[in-house]
Amino acid sequence: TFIPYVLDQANDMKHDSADSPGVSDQEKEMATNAFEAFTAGNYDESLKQLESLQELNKEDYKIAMNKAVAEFYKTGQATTGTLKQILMTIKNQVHSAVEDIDGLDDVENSILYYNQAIIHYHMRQYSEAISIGEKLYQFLEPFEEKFAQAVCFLLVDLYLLTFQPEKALHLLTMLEKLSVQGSSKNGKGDGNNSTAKESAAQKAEFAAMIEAAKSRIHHYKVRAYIQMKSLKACKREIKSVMNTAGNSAPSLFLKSNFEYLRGNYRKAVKLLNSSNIAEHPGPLKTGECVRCMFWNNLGCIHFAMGKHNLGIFYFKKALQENDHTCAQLGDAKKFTGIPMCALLANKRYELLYNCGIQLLHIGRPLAAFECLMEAVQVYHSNPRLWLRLAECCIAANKGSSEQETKGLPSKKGIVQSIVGQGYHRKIVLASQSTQNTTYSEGQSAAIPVASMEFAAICLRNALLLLPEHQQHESKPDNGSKSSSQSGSTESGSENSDACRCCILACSAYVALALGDNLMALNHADKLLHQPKLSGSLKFLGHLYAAEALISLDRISDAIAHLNPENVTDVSLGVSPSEQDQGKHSHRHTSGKQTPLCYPSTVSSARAMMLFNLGSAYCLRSEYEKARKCLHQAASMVNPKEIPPEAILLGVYLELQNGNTQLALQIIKRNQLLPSVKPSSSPDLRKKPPPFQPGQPVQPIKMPSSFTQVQRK
Amino acid sequence: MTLAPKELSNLLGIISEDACGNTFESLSNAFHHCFGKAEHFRVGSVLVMLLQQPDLLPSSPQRLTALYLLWEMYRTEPLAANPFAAVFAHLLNPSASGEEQEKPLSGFLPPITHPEKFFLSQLMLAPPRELFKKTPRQVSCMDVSSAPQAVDISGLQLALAERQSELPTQSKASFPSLLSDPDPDSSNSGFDSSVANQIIESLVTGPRPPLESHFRPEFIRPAPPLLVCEDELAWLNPCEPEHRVQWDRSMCVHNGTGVEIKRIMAKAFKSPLSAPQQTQLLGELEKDPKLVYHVGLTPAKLPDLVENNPLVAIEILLKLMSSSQITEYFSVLVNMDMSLHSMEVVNRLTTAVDLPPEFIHLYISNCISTCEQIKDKYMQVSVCNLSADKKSGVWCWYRLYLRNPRIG
Repeated sequence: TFIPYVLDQANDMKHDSADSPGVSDQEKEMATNAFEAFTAGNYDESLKQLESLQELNKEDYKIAMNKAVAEFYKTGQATTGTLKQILMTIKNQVHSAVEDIDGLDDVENSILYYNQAIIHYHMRQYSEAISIGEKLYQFLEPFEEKFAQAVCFLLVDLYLLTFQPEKALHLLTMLEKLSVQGSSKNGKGDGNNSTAKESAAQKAEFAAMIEAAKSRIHHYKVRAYIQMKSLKACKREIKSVMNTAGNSAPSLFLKSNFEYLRGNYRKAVKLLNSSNIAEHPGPLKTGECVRCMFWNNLGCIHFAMGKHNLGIFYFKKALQENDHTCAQLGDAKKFTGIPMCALLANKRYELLYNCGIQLLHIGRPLAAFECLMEAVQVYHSNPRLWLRLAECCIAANKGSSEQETKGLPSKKGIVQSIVGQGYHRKIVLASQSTQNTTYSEGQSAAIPVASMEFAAICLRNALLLLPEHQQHESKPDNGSKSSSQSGSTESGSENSDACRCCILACSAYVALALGDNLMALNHADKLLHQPKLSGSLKFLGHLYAAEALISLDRISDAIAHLNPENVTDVSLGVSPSEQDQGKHSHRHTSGKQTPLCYPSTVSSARAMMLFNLGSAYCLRSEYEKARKCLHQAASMVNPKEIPPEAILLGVYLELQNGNTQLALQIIKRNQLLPSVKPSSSPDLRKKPPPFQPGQPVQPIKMPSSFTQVQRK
Repeated sequence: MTLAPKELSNLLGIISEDACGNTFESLSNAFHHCFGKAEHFRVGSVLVMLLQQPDLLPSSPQRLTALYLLWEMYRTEPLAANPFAAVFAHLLNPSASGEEQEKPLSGFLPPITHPEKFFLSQLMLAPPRELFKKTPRQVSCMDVSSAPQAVDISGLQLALAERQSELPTQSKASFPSLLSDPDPDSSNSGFDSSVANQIIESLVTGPRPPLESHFRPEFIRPAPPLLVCEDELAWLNPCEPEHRVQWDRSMCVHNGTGVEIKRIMAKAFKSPLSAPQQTQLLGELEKDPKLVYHVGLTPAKLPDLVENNPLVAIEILLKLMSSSQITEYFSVLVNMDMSLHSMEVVNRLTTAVDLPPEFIHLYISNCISTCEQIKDKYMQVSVCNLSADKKSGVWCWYRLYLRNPRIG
């Protein structure tokens, strides 16, 4: 049985005053007076006491620090920059770098470190704040309970801000134990030499403190579980939050967040609406602009519902609200003139991120690019953001019409231009690959414009930033460095697998567009070897690999990739391995559309593969095989959806056959026509029978060597 | 690859119908006057395109000029090195002439007349000088029925085939992307060189002229779909954090006791303490439960304390029991060299608190292995002091075992 290490400060001080030769009673009294004036908010008086104290005692740096603290409070906590400077100077005098707090002697300097951590926190220097907080945490026991708690809460907050919910949860359980111990000790309530009155007051204060702490712990737990997406545990905690903190805006927002994650969007909206944001004290007091958060969250909900126009509307409103707040605050970069807590009020980068993602999904990649480029200046270590930027570039360079980005299939022209007329009329066929290849000449790729070159840079960053392959269990130490600056947007390992696949697919695509075939093949191969590859990306991997191989003149290898049997599934997700069931199904049914202009069925994907296979056969001069592929593929898709490349393949085959007139007919009708022996129908030009997609076409037999890799 | 309009008009001047009255030699001079070596390939490409589009270069003398220039540009090099040698080989290919009447492949070179073929054959061999004193028009009207029909181009064909085999398949499969599509309904107004020249200009000048583009089987390359990510957007929650800058209450409460205690502790790591010192230390530790964290003990220093002052070590460890670092202290204790003192410390700890069973197991197994080692040494060296240690060690272990039967 041990005495709990909790100790009330009063006892401690009395004990000290019993025999401490170094410090005179006069000094002690002044110190007490200064502290009392400080707690009473009488900063001038406190400062006066401190100054006289400083004359008596020149050694204790803590007098200087408390002076700085009192001055800071006197200015309404608006001189963060100054305080930071002073603390730095003091720390340098104390000569103990945080890195080497390992001796217990440094417990003496704990408040100095804590204050520095607090300032880092408010300046959003989270990794610095964490490294100090973690050092302090190692020596938690000697600290007074209230201070120990403060250290823990600060760390919890920092862990949540940097998306390390497991660490936060661990600390929260510690905190719970702490407060239980505290209350049990307090329950005994026997201050050895304090009067009954003191003890009662103490008790009440203690109880209140413990209640407040409990409520905060529940709050933080919900946030941690939300980040971990363990909704069951979250549900339990939400109940406690609603019981303890009733209808406060933070509770309602949290519950709304929970319902949003569960896919109960209406309920989420309702909860947001029921929070009385008009009565919120405002960002200058709390450092939080609840109105802006409100609009932003509405935007999130509508995005998830697939109502992208409303989503954009709300995000823009949130941005306006945020701009308004910032205008009130003035220039936060100078760290003076506004209360320290308000330094955190600006949510511009989170909002820009959301806005950018929303714009990208709505088919406005250039606007999205601008938003995300601004956000990436802050979240430069977020791999997914770099991927999104690359996606913007890809979408902007698809050469697709407005229609296509809105999801309607459109035909890229197969005719580039018509030159001359009458006798001299000539058709210039459009080369799809030159349409797809966009070199932005004369510009450095490092200058961010939405070009394919820039996409390549973004993708390289994304791949480098993505945490290395790891066991699927999300490990607790999720690279605090890399995640420390990424917004809401850090990914668990499950997400990072999907992210990696997507990055590789985009990389292969971009490399093809830039004509870097070896790189494209490399990326496509890597993509195909990913353990958790969605059906649709596997399909793309084969297509990209084949195209790269063709360009590398390895036709037989390419043909092996183009086996339609390679496509078995074109779903976008991997079969979800879920800890919390129900979530995924909820989300998917609720109107999230799969991207269009993309094969939505296995048969259309296979058709695409067959078209490409036909092209590959052409290159080997196996025109009959090519023709069979073309026609089999054409029979598998709606004649209106036959891609221009396929029609050009038909043209090519006819030209190769010497059938110029039929080729011209195909071009003019923009549809495939059955091949007829050129000599047999002289009136071919006038009325070629349109090709009937319904008519049975002999399925082509794959050559036996199909699965084997052929090499010349 | 494009020609500037000025260059083009120069070229068109040289191969115009009007210029066909000049001798080949003078045409050649005019050509070299206008174009340097660097332009030859670009100009040649345009000439080939014109040969491919008979409506733009309708007359035989003009074709002769074009063929001549194609040859002449590279005459100093071996024939097979001429980048346009394939054109010659194709036009002279004897087997082609029969079929191609039926199947004019688009973009391929249309067949040429016999005088043209004769002229070209002459170029392939060593051409007589006087040939170039003639004009294209003269050559086009020559009666060549008596001339030998075919020239042997198999050598050239072989060289070309060799060169082509080095090209990627994709390049070999390309057509020009220019397709003639004469409108059958328009009145056939015949050839008008100014109209033709305009068309040529639009085909070969400007950025990315149609001349450059080519047509080959192409791959459908769908762009990857956007990453589907469910919780990507930043949801914002107000959380009213309460992190404040704090006042340091330890100001001017410097602890005299602390200094003295630290001094005693520093000594305790080096040598046994005197009885009064020990009493003072333990007394202060008893008075202030948090003092133990300030005395300067770290896990690394524990073995020294155990060896020199086992009693102090026991008391301090008991006070550190609720510390987060206690497991580190334990692991140091288990791994330190076995000695009477360390055993005593462990023994006292087991009686006072519930130690983790894995700790005790580890400790006992260490203990046994150490005892065995001591035995070996005893057999070999026979050191009495060690034997005493060993005996007491075993005894100590037994005592441990007997007192804590649940350990086994």
